[in-house]
Amino acid sequence: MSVEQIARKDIADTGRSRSLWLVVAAVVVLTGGLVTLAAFVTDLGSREVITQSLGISASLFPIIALFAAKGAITAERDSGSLRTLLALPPSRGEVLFGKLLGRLVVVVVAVAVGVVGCVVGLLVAGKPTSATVVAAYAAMLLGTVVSYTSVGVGISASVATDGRATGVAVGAFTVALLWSALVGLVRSLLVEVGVVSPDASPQWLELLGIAEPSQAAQALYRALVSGTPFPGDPLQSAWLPALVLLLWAIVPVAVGYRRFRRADLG
Amino acid sequence: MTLEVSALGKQYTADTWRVRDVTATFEPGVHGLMGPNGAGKSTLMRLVTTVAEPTEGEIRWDGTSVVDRPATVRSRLGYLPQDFDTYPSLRLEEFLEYVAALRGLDGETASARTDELLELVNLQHVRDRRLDTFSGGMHQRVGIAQALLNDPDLLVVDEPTVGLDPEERVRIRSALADTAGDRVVLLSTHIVPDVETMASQVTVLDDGDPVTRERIEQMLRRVEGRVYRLSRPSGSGSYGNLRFP
Repeated sequence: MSVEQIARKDIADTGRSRSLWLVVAAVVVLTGGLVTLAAFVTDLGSREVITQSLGISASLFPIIALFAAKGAITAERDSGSLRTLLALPPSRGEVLFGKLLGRLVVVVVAVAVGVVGCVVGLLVAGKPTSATVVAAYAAMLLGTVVSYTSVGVGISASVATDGRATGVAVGAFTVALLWSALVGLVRSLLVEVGVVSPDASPQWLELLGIAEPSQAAQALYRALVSGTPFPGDPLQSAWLPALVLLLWAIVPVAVGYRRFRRADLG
Repeated sequence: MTLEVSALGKQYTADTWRVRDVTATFEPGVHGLMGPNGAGKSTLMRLVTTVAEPTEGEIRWDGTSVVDRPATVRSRLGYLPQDFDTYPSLRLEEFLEYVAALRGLDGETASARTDELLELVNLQHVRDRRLDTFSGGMHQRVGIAQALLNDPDLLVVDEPTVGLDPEERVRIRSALADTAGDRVVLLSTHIVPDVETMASQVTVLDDGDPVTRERIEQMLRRVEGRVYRLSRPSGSGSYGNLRFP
């Protein structure tokens, strides 16, 4: 009940906050808007249009979700209202999960509106697409935003100030943005020192490649639209990236809760 | 209704204790906590209200450990923290509805209590106004209203009149005194007249340690003849090299 009340207020706050409206607008524009635009101005088919737009969504969704979530706890901690909230009957766990739920509802609704916009846009452009591709696209977008919202809330619960949360969130986004390059760098170094041969790609390195949420989400999309979503090779299967995304949705909040549960509020 | 603290301590760093070895029993009535800034009053308040956990010692509400079972006291608690802040984008009524919902009050009770308390703190005419348009004094009165929503058995108010003009200060004192009733009220302040007008008993903290705990009349008797009122004509410069006996 308390979780629901806290989540409801967080959702209602979105209606009052310009910055959170900006987050919703960005998600809708980067999904429905981008796909519709590409459908009208290019000769690509519907599936190619969606596949092309994935890269942009995968790059920018992490920062959007982190921005939406990083103030969940720290904004109230900075203002002082968290002291009032924590002296009320809800436990710290309920406060945290209420905040998480509120932020998740906002980003998930934004993605849903964006995906509907995308389908409508493709239909208007005369490029209808299959339900499988739409479902895979939605799963990829949801996987990214849910994971990074969890990371953002986890950061917010783990640090003492909103400024610090912003710093850590920017750091997390930078790592996300550079993930493929970092994995490539590791591979090059290992080839250089002779641990990995130049024409081989060890499975653990492939796994490292999809360890970052937006990379995992793209791998999930590729597996779902491939026609054989569950082949023998886990790295080509949908379940492994889905598992990675699930872990990212749970672990950061669990770590954040662990720190927040015992945090001294000064 | 009894709040007991025994050998209570809160350590922040290896050699910094904000509160140390505080033992006291608080029965219904208004209990003043006094001391200079940094004496540990707010820390003690946070420990009692479960916002912070003690490093050592015990806090018991009606015999139940507050540290082990924080929900026991939270359901009967009203708390006005120091530097109380609200949610600027909410209207006053929305804010009180939110607090009432988290306190588990049903709609009818919440609505009745809201009407009652807004009248008590004289804010009924601004119930539809956003909180970011409120003055400091109005904010404090909102804080008192939210702390009293559930008709708490334990009311903890931390520096409720600091930063207010004299008129607002009197209004806040009256609102608190009017509602003291049969509850245990802990009032932290460094403003002597606040304690003098509201509290029946006073505990003085200094550097985290309780220095004295006595009835307010006893304390006043003890300091009689040792309190000086200093005044100077306006524009007469500094107090210079005044020496007290």
